[in-house]
Amino acid sequence: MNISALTGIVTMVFGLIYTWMAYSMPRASIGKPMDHIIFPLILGIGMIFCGLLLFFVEGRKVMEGGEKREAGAGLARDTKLIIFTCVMAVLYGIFFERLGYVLSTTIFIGSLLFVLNGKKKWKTNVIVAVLFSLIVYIGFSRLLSIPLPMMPILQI
Amino acid sequence: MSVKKMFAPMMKGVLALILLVAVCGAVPQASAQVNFPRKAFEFIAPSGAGGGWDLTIRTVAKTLQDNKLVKVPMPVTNKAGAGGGVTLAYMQDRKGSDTLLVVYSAPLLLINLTGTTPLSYKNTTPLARLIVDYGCFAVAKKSKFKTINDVMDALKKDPKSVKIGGTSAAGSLDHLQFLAMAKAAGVTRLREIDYISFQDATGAAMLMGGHIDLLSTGLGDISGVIESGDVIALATTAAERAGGEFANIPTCREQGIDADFGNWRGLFGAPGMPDYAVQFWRETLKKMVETKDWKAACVRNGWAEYYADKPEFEKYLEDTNEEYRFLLSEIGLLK
Amino acid sequence: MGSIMSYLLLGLKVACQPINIMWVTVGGILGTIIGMLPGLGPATGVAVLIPMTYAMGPVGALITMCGVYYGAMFGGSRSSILINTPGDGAAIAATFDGYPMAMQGRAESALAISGIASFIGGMISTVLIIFLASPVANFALRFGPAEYCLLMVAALAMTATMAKGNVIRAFISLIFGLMISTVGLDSQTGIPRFTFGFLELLSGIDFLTVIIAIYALGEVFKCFKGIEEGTKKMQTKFGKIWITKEEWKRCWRPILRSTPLGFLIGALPGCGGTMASLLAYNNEKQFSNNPENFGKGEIIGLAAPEAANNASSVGALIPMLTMGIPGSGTTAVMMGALLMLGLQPGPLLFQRNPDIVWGLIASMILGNFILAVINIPLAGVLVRVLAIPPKILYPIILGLAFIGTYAISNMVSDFYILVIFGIIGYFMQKADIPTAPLILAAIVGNSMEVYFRQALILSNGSLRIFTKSTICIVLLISTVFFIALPIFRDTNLFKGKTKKAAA
Repeated sequence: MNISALTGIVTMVFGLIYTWMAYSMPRASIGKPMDHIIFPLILGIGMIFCGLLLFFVEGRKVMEGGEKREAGAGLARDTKLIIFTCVMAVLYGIFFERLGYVLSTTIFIGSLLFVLNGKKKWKTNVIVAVLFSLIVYIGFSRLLSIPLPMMPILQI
Repeated sequence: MSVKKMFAPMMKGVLALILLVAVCGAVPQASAQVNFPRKAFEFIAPSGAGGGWDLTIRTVAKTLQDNKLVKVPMPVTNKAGAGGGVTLAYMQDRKGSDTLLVVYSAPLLLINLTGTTPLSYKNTTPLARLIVDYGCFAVAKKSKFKTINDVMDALKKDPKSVKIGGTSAAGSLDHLQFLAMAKAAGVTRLREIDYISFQDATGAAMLMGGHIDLLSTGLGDISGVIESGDVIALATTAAERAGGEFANIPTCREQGIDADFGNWRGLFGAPGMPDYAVQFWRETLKKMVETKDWKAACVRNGWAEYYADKPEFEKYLEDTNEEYRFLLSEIGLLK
Repeated sequence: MGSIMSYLLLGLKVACQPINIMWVTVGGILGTIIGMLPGLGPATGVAVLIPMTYAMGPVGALITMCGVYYGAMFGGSRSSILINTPGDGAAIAATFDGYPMAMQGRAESALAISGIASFIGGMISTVLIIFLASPVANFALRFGPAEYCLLMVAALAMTATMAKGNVIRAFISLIFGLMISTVGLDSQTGIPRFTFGFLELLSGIDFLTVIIAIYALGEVFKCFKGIEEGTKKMQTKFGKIWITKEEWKRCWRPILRSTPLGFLIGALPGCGGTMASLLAYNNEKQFSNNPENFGKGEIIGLAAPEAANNASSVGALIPMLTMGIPGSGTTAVMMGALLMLGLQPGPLLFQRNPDIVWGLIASMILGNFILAVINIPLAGVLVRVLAIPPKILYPIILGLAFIGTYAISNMVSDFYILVIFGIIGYFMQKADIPTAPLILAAIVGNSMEVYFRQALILSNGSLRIFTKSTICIVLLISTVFFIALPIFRDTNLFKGKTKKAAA
């Protein structure tokens, strides 16, 4: 399985799901009943078609030339970093309004810095994380008067 | 570095977070506050900047500030989405808040009736009704329609013959105000009337360019082009004529259509707003609507003053809700 | 003619009062800073100013707001060039070639040409607005749903056919973008589409969130590898912020071509800077002798959209000033502010408050000069961003991306959308799918569909509405032309993979 073929399949499956979802939307009570469904249907079918094309035209072609694959002992380091970032981002979202901007952002940026920049430079990491969140917070809520979530109790 | 090591600091962080949240949740809310308000209010316009809601709440904030009725800061936040539904959901998160103040109008009821959100006006604390915006039906300068009755007569013959444009989505305000009038005028095939929603406020341009036949919108939204004579307002939907430069626009009722339809706007607090805060706002808003600045702002923006204190406002909401429910069921949009 | 000159003099008299010069400078600096932050565009900048403007009086307020508006247009592309994160939608085209230029160590030229092109685009369109405001406004009125729809089709056709030898992938990207735009409450029927029951999705997915996700997050994800292996270098030596004579020779024509284009698009209510800059970019790529250089640090690919972007911001003032119709998000906010100050924008504004209108126009000329003067030294400071070690810079970019997203809608739910699209963007890069068609499609997709359906309602279902007006026919012909041009000029295009695809 090479990347083109995989992309083709993913595209096709996505197109199928989308088309099915479009078709099963409720019909409109005013105007034409299918008015809001036709465009999504065209898109879905177009997507399936593109996926098929990609799978059959390019999928096969590249396979002949052999495929490149990165050495696969578990996940590559950058993939892990991406997963880590995404998990942190989701946690950031969950705690954003509860902990307030300054605290949640310091933790979010700080954690990324610790992983990326290394534990040895912890002083830099802490300073950057705290400064960044404080500057942004003051800039937004004081200067731009865009209120950001405040930390409980302390009300910053 | 292994995955485990990478995630270890994170897990610690998560634990710390959970602890913090727990601590914060445990702090009891200060009960009755004597010198309210002490900290900044949070004013919310449930739409993007520049719309009617936004203008209303900013005008309120400015009037309160200029007249020193409220001395703490009143920053306005725009929390758009789902025709106000997102803000309504946010208000549930802030149950019992004494600082939150939101402006709403008819869509607060409509988004509930059309099934956008299960939340309704009952999930808020209504504080006061402030103004009513005149709905208005306008045609282009060169239009063949001279009165609103010309339009209705054409619709009676062929519901597809007049293309109606508006700014709000189908089933929302601009659409309903026209249907309410059409129904009162005796048009029967309401469902077949074509309504085209121009949500980026381009409706007036479409009207002036001759792409649609009639625009149903708020008087304030097109007052500039009415004044200049580029579009002609056939009728307003209000009970009485507007003041100032718009005094020559007849109401629908004057032209024999026995109905009115107002886009009221009012202020709401979070559900379960503490009594001292409710009391504060009822008193403050009562004072505000009497100020010169507020009256001037109403004239300037083409709003009619329509103040009602909490009890009256609540009754009004209930009646209006039933009226909308009926109209929506007429066109099959009721959920 | 004479009266225009005397009015303009009146305006200059207003604008050149020291206090107003100060306001425009303050506004310009503030706007530049706001514009640089991802997600925060001119609309936010102007909204932020509203409470401050009460104290200034109408003239001062309007001039400051224009300063912010203008400054944000200048500033938006700074972050595009330096960290591949567009400050606002209109600055997205600046990432295509601006960021590659910065990566090649040509950030100085990139920042300079962006400032210069912005200045020229803004200046010329200010002159255009003085003489052409009302004819352009009347022209814009001739655009009905059918015309808008075809304009968007033309724009999409241009983008999709540009990805050479990669047409299937470009179409996947395009269709996916259109799919993103179908999420939300359908305004014509009141039925929610693809919202999965989430209230937050009812108003659709903001294309700015998608842009920030795919560009900023996507770039950070892509660079993780380079950072870990230490191959990602930072720039330590910086040259003067200026361009060479040769670069100027190549750029001035594209700048002059893109300015009127941007101006016209900007004057169409509801179109805006993003579309103007993308069209200008595609346009130059079509006419270039070496289109393959675009996207790899071609200076023309930066100059053209920058000029168009600023020209469109001036053009967008036309519907507001002449008709009282806000043509863009920013002008909507400005109009709200004007209303609060007791001014009614519309055809009568020119007659009733000539000092305000002409003071505004004169202050745009002034503001342009001031911004050009402050931008070049400012760029000298900003370019130092590239000296921050990537291991520290990238977490900061992520921080900015999130706060920018939050500032767009004040909703935390957009964080999750940001993450999802960041991942999608990363995989698209892996699968070699171009992202530009997705962005344009996500921006215009919903309007295109809605305009199409509106046109059909107006015509009672007849497709002939799309050939009824001259504008329609011109747009149809140019769509065909844009699709055909690359095929004719570069016969290699369909020889490779896509020939089989077509068969």
